Amino acid sequence: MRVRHETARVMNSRFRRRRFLAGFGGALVGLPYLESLAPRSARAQDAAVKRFGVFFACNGVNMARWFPTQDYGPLTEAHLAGTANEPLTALRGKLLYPRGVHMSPRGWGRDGGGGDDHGKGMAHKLTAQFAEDEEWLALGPSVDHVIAAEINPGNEGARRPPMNLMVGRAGRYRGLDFSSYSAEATAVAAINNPWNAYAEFMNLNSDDADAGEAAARVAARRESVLDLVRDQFEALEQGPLSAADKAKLEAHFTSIRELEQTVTSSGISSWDAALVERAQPYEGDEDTVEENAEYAIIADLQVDIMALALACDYTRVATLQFDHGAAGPTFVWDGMQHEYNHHKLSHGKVRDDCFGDSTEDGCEDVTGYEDMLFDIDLWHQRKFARLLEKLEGYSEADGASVLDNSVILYTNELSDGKDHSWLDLPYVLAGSCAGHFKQGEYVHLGDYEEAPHNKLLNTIVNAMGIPSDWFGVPEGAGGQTMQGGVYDELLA
Amino acid sequence: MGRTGRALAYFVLLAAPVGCNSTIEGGQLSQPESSASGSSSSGSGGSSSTAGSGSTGAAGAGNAAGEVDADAVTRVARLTHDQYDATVQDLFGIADTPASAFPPDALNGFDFETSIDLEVDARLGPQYRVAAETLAERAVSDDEVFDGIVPCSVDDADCADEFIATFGQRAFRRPLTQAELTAFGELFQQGETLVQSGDAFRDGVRLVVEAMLQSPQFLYRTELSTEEQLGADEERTIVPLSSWEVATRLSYFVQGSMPTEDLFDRASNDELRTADQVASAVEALLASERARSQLVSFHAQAWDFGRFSRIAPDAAAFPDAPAGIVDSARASSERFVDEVLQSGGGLAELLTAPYAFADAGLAALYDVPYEAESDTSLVRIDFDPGERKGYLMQIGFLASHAYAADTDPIHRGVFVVRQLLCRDIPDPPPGASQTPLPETDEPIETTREEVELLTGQAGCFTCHMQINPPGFALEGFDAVGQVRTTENDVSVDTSGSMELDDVDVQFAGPTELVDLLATSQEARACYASKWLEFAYGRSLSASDRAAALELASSPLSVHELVARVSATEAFLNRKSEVNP
Repeated sequence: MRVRHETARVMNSRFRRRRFLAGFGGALVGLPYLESLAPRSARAQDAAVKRFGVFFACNGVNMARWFPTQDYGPLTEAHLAGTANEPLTALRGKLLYPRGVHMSPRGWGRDGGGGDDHGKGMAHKLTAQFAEDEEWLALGPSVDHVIAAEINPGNEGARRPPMNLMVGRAGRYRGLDFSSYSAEATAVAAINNPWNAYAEFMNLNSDDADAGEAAARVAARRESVLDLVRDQFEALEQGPLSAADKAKLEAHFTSIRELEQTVTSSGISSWDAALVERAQPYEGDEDTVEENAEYAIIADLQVDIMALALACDYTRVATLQFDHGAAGPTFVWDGMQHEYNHHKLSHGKVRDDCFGDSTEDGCEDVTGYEDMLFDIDLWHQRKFARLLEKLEGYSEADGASVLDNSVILYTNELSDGKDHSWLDLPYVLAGSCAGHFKQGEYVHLGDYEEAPHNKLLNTIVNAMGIPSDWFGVPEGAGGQTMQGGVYDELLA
Repeated sequence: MGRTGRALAYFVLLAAPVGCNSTIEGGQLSQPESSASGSSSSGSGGSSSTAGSGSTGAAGAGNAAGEVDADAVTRVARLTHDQYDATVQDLFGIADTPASAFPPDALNGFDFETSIDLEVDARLGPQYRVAAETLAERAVSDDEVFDGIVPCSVDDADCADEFIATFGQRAFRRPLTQAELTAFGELFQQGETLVQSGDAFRDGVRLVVEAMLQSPQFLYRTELSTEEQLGADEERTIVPLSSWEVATRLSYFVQGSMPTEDLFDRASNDELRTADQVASAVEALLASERARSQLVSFHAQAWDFGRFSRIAPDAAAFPDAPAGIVDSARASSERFVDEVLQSGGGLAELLTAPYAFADAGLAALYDVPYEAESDTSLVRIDFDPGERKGYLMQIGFLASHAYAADTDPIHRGVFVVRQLLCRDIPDPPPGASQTPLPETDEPIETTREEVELLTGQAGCFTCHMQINPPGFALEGFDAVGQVRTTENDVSVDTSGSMELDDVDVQFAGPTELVDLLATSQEARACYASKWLEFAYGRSLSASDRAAALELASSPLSVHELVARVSATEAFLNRKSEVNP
């Protein structure tokens, strides 16, 4: 959080920003800064602004050492001690551990649809939709996009999309790479470069009083430019274009027609000089950000950027995906010195295409892989704790923490990585979402195929203030165990 | 490096087996109680799509059967991020890469980085604005850039109009209409009041650049011709593209950027309509640096050079494997392709030329002497063509289709049948990796014996009888691509037979195999069809596949092939929307 500069030093701080933001090739990226000087919309002071975050890990967990160990009910220290969730002990008062949820539509061919186990794991988790057969792309939007379309800053029909971030190799090709979808079979490639992620909003809000005049001029200039660009779009759309082409152009123009980037402010500055400095080395970089050695550093950066984005109200929905299904880095930090990457370890094998117990054909076991998986799970939960602590550290105007006004979901592509299981999924809900959810409890929702995850996603949609009866594949169109409604057991 | 690198690929298993006439029992997935549950997801070569079966994504023109509906091909193709960077570099004479800040595109299944079906989502639109404003500011504050785009003296009364017409034509890749000239002229005049830098002319330039770079006429390649005529088959009507539109298609296909001055000249003389005219233009284009790297980039995409990143030789088995083998493999493979193309080669040479490029580390693995100024310099190594020739027998390919210590004949074979022959080989069915080795009294001493035993079982062999032979032919090269004549003290057997061009062919080893592949109709047609996909930026229709067959009727150098692709009816024309 930035302390307000005194008026006398305002000019200096602004120029410091400009100098810092050397854009590509050294050119100053001054303009996003100016963009923020547009007049702000007043935000209703009475209603808390709710946020939704997703922390998406892959390849499953060591099931024997992940879940709370004690009875269902209030969370105690003992519940988390010795588990991968131990780093969250201090925050347990703001956590909810639902148990017994299964993925719906189901895996292992029970409900059909495209994708192998990893493919379904990635495609179904945030969408509760089937994947198509060719590329395993989900056939509907993900919950983050659905929620953002209703509540994110912006005007109706032109709201800012959710912030989709990731750590690791940029996923761009097949369903295995993606967890977020803006529409049917339209995957969203998450941003794996922390500089690019932060540059979008680092200058979002400014308290500079001098900026008003400059702002008006910029706005007028942009208005004139946009008028001409609008005419260009209209002229083109009158040409011999198909309906699909026209829709494509319409969607494009919609994304730029809102000149006044709705600047809502939670009172928390988007500018964090230390964060800028940490992200700066990745500017213009496409390759280093994918290197194994950078993974842990970038993970911390993306967590911090996500927290700030939510806190300063640039976005009210954000997701962070850790690499992707059937992949993952080789963990060689924080005391770990693994030889094999996450996916191989999730099967306890030295090759990616081995599993089961066979040691034939080069499929040796990795000795001690269960402990290695536990260390990986512990590392992820430490990152999850970091995210929650950051959110807890930002205070809203009314004194509540941003975390209190949020619901942050930990989810995993799979439950048991070795079996590629989709039953008994690991989940955490953090934050009460402004008093909507219970806090500090371990709750049993069902066994085996009793508690579908599409209902959990629908519970979250409703928690975010959007009335919804059902989420995912339409009722009767497949997904035999899917249910409507919400999990009352989770509500305060 | 750009965005041309392919992802790490893993074998991905379909829920239901298709193709290879496979009838695998128990193909559906198993129950949770069984320890052998579920399916594995690992290792694969690139995408499973082959010529004509690739999907085009949500906004694409493919119908349920994967056929491209020619009438639904888009008329507005968004520039890819790589194309955007190259275009602004050429437009302004700069070296920047503004698209590195853009959110990545999900390719939704298309195999190449040239998709014409990319869209602008809510994240990208504002990014285009930021980039336009930044570039505009640069254009007026950097004198060298300014002088490059303003063709007249600012004191001339007509200079504003001249700038708009000249820069506009380059930005929109066609002359501006009178309405556009007027509109941009008016915007220019507003510069003084809206920007207020004190230099009215530069203010006008800045505004005009901002507007042009956000216009769909810049960000999309637009094809708006409507005049119809009868096609070569005299059945369907076609709509010839204008010379300006052809110039744009040509330049983005051959060199990945906006038209060159030469192409603009030809377009303005309307000299890009006939096959001969196009061939002449292509020849001129091919001389550029951009074209040279674009042609190499095609191979990096078609043959998945991104897979080199998974080369990780086991240190114990290969203590001499060089540390930078991943980068070396990529650099040497690209250099090889470049050399073959520059010397007028085509598919045949790519598969059979008996040389490679190596730095010190690779030279050691090739077991040849190496001498250069620095250990990282790539030096040409000539091989004994009886022992090693062509891309398939180079370290890059061999090591990237291998395990850490063992060879991987299955994936080597899969590459040949899928990427070189475009055969529709499906992924293995669920549980395939768990198939236990059958009991046998025979000693299993080599990789070939093991794979033969494993994949010879019912349900496996229908596909593996196609996959295995080319993989086995390469068993004379170990997991890092070194020559080996024995494995576990047993002689390596590289002989085999396979169906090629509907005929059974035999080969004693890999050199014979690649000779057969290089001259086969199947391989040529496959290669040509990949070029068509790359050039068109979409999946192929039935008539496209016919064009590919025509292109395969004789051996062609890549330069020849590029020229002929550019002259295909589908490249120079659109199909009519009004066709029944």
